[in-house]
Amino acid sequence: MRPLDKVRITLLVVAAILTLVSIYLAVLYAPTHTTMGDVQRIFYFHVSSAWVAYMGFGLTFVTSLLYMKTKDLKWDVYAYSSAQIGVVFCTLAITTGPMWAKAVWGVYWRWEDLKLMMTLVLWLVFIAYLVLRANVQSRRKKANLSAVFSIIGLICIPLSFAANRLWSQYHPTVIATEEGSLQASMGFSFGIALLAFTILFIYILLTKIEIETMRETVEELKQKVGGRHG
Amino acid sequence: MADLTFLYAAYTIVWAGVFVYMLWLHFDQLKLRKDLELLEEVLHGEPE
Repeated sequence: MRPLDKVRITLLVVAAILTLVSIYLAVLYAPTHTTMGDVQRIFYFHVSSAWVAYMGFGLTFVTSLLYMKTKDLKWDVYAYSSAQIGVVFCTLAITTGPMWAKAVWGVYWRWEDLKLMMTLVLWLVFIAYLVLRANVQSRRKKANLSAVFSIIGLICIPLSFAANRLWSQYHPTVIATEEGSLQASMGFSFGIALLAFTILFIYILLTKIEIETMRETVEELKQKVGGRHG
Repeated sequence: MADLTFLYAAYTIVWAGVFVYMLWLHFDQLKLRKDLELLEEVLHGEPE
């Protein structure tokens, strides 16, 4: 077994254990919220999903910059891998948020809320990034266009993250505000959920990078085989 | 009761989503491994 496989398996086992612990903590250990009731328990995994999405998009930006600087396709593979993970987890955050909203606000979505709108825009920007990549054939052109696109997409990340902190909106600000501060047991449960999702993110990222590197090798070998037989 | 329905729905979305995505990655990886083996066999295994 290769050292990277050992690291990945260890990460997967740790993530699985922490995930089970975090589900137990979120459902049974953390107290029921006094005003929102049980539906508040969505928050533990909704915020953790959004956290992974921000990490994914943030990493896409950093690796895209590195690609622009070095023109090394390895960075483009990293950027694409983290962007895809970001889109998957942003989808989870965007679909679980309305479940909470319907129970607390009485509506699934508030179009006037900047936090919600900026997160939707961020999600659409990175879906467009994936669509763009899927439709460009030239490897180098695909990497160049994607890098420029993800750098533009970066504008949405701080706006989405800070919208509820900068402008008074409906979306609650749980961390770093007195009114939204968590009880110790809620904070602990939330911390474990964040840790579980972060480790899960690292595991998925390593797997995805390996897959994309393998895909590049397959494409190269296909061209070699085509060259021999063509 | 409605609260719990939303809670179950949200938890199902999160864990089913993560599980399906990881399964999709796993099958993608298996397919690529197979392709890689096949291509290497064609490149190195066939008579010159």
